[in-house]
Amino acid sequence: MDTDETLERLLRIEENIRAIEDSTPVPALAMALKHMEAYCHLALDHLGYEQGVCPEEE
Amino acid sequence: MIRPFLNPRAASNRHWNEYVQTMPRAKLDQWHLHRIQRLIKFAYDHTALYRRLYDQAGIKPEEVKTWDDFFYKVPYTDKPDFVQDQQGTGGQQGRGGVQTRPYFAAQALDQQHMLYYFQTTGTTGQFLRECFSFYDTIKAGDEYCYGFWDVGIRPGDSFYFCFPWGLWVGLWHVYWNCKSLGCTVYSGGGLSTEDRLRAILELRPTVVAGTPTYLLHMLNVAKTLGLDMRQAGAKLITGGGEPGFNVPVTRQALETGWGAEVLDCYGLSEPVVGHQECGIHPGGVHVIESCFHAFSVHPETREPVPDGEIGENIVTSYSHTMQPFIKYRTHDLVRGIKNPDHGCGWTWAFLKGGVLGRTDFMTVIRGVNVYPTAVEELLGQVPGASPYYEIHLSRLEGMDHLLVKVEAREDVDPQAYAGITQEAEALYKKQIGVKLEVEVVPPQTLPRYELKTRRIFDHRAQEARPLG
Repeated sequence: MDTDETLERLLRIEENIRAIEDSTPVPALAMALKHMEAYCHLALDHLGYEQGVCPEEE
Repeated sequence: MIRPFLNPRAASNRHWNEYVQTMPRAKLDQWHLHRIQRLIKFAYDHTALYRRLYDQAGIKPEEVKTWDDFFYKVPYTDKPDFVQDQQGTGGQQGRGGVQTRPYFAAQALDQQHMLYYFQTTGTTGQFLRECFSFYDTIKAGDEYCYGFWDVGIRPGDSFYFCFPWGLWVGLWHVYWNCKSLGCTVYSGGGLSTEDRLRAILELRPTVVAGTPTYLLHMLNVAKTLGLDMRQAGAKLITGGGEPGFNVPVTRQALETGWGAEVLDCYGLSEPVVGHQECGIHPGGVHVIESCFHAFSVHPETREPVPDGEIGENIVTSYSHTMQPFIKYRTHDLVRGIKNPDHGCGWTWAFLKGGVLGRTDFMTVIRGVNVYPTAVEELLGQVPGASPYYEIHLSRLEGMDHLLVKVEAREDVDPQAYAGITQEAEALYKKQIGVKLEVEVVPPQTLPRYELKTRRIFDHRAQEARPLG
């Protein structure tokens, strides 16, 4: 898998994470997804992707 | 724009995870069986200990198909199994054959998966090394969220940790849960009791976490300093490591002194399982069934006991995959109720009264596990002490006390009794880590028995006395 494909998949993952995190009524799921979001933000950072300073920033 | 920490629907949900907390019993048991089957195969495939135990028992993982197979064919595990495995011939060798890393009992994942190292206290002289993977800490970090959420702890709340962040995993377990909840962590590590008290008054944490003994000690120190810890405004006192939170007189002293409600967590280090009170505070703790399976057996016959009867708590952990603990004997006596109905809405099993006693009479003195067997063995090293002795367990002001009564040898001058007492007390302090009361009595003072000698007298509440 090359970098472009990795980046594309991570961005889709982030979108899916946020969709679940923002809509689920289950706090356990929402918090689990929040942790995933943080690691996803880190992974994108590792690829040099320019994004918000932190996952909390829209 | 800053995203909200938690969406409003999740934030207002009564349960941490309603789907698992209110799962019907039949579906829970089916889920447990499947998880246990997978765990047994995982342990058999990846650990020498379980391969040896199951081969000796003549059972293969694929043969565990029913609950009867699990209850009656799968062997139990006990701490000595793990200690023996730890002392085995394993270990990693570096250059020149030097052992570079310690051997962990029943280690299923290799060293690169190890994120944390802890160890048990080793009160009996044999401590167990514990290793945890990243996932173990995440899964264990979900365990206490159920009870904390149930009593209203939310993101934005805070925990003050009154412990030194040492090798005991207990309050690290609570810390992992604090993180999962999105709560702030205030560390009390490396501080004196007075410094912690003043920090709590300044920081005003929502939750103060520690062992019951230490939290009571803090109140005593606060009193001498003229500090009123109710002014800290804490909402919750929690933690574990020893009985106390479920002992009425201790619980009341903590609630009054801290001005906060108490939430009991009954945890076990090795399998890293945690039972927890719910917000109804019904006088006991729930089995957190998303994280482990528990059932009770008669400690001698090992027959599963009927619902509502006292038996030994046997646990299988889903939270410690680096070192699987399957059908592990806790030696804790509990009264399990499979279908509780006290209004919390949880369908998870409930242990009424929490830990009621020990199968091996172990007690906890000032936070230190004390085994009567260790007390007995050490007594043999005290000059002048005879083989006739009694160990009396009692409970005073909510805390366990242990008194050793020992007859002096016939040839010992009564004037030497005080010296024997001092020597015994010093030996216990050195070897076990806590001072025990010793009373030396003249020869022939203690009763003699025709058949089995009764040495251990448990004067605690009737329900706390072990079976047999």
